[in-house]
Amino acid sequence: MADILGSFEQAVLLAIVRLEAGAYGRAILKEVQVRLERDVAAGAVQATLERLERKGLVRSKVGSGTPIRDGRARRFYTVLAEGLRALDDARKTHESIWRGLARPLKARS
Amino acid sequence: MPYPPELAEWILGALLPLDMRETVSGDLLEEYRESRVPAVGEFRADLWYWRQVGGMWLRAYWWLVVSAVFLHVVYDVFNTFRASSGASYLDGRPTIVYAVLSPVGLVGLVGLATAYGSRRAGRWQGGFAAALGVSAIVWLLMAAWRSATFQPFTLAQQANPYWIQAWQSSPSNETFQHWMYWDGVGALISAGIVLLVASCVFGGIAALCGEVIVPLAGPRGRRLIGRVSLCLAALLLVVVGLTGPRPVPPAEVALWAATGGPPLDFDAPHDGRVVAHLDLMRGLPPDIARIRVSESATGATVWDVTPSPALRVCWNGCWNLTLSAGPNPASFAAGRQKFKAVVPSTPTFSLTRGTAYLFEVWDSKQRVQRHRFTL
Repeated sequence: MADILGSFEQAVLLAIVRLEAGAYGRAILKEVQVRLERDVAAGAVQATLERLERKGLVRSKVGSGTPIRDGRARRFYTVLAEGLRALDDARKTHESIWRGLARPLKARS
Repeated sequence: MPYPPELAEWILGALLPLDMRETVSGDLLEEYRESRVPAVGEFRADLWYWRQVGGMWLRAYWWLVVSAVFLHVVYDVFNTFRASSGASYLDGRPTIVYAVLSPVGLVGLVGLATAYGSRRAGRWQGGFAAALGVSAIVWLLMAAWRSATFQPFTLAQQANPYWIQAWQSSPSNETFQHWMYWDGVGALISAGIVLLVASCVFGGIAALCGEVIVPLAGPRGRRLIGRVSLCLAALLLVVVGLTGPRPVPPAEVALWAATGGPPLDFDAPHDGRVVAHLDLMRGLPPDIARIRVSESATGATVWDVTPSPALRVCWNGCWNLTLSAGPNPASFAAGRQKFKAVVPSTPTFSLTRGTAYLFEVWDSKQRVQRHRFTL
């Protein structure tokens, strides 16, 4: 059974999946902000990435820097098989709890 | 190209673990330059950068801040609300409980913040950033707590004999609320100084270890230093916890030996009486060779006594001498020690209200302490 993911963890994992080879810290932050449609603290994304790595759902590798960041290195992330399984489980759970309900929900008068 | 605030960058560097430092600071720098500055300008981008650094700091050390605030709140509640006799509900509990809840515990937490910060960041600057940050935030929260609780706590305090006595012993003629307010302000200033000094001392120790001792050692030596430091820190916390406030009297004795003269502390005179405390923290008996009271204006000796035999004994918990307006006994017994009057030759001597007196006390090394009082 894969680890149960929180919604923010799902957003970060899906950002890595979408960004593929370009999934490094700042790109993930931008992607999460776009998907969640709100400003997200860099620290929150960083803490989530560290947690996901500890759980064995993602793997990271240090890559080269760019002039805009004064040559400081970038850390690239890849979702591992365990991470993909956790995402699939989360989606199944999500669909299961919504099954049979019409969206958007309407209040009973 | 624009640069984020230098201090914020320094804090970020001191905060992050070694393997994350370059990549995370690079991410923030890229976002700062590429998105924030073009969108909102440099000033607001700087604010954004500070917010990110603050958020990362809180994520790392929030538990230390919460623990410190918890300790302060519990201590303040126990200090404020007392039994109807004025005794603290903590009286009689193991010393370690008192020590952990007292400011000693708070200083210990600053030490813990330094150790944790240094270890987490892998550099001594991390310890400084953690200790100073914890101290500053806790101090602000202490001020907020004090402001929020001032009215209800003062109402409870003015009905308790402990606080009434403390108020009456204060030297000025303030109202109770006014006195409590300024007492709180004084306590807050003292707490700020103590926290700042503790941060600098612990940070200095971390710097010394990080910059001088550790680089001199090889990899095995470093591991050994790490283990020994951890054991010493734990031992120090246990010793402080077990002994609680007991190291204070010896420290006062050392100060007394260095500065000279017996310890002397006067309560504020009230109702025609004054109490002179000659003991050390109500625990250690003083070395008294002579006591003299004279009129300040004329220098005339009103009372002059010497003890026999020369002993250090506790008396009247532990050595408190009450002088009253009107007749006072010229000779008296203080435990196993007898104080015999040289002046006057009569059995009593008189003090009058409104007259200024000089109280002098000598120890066996002929060192003297003086205090002026008016009944």
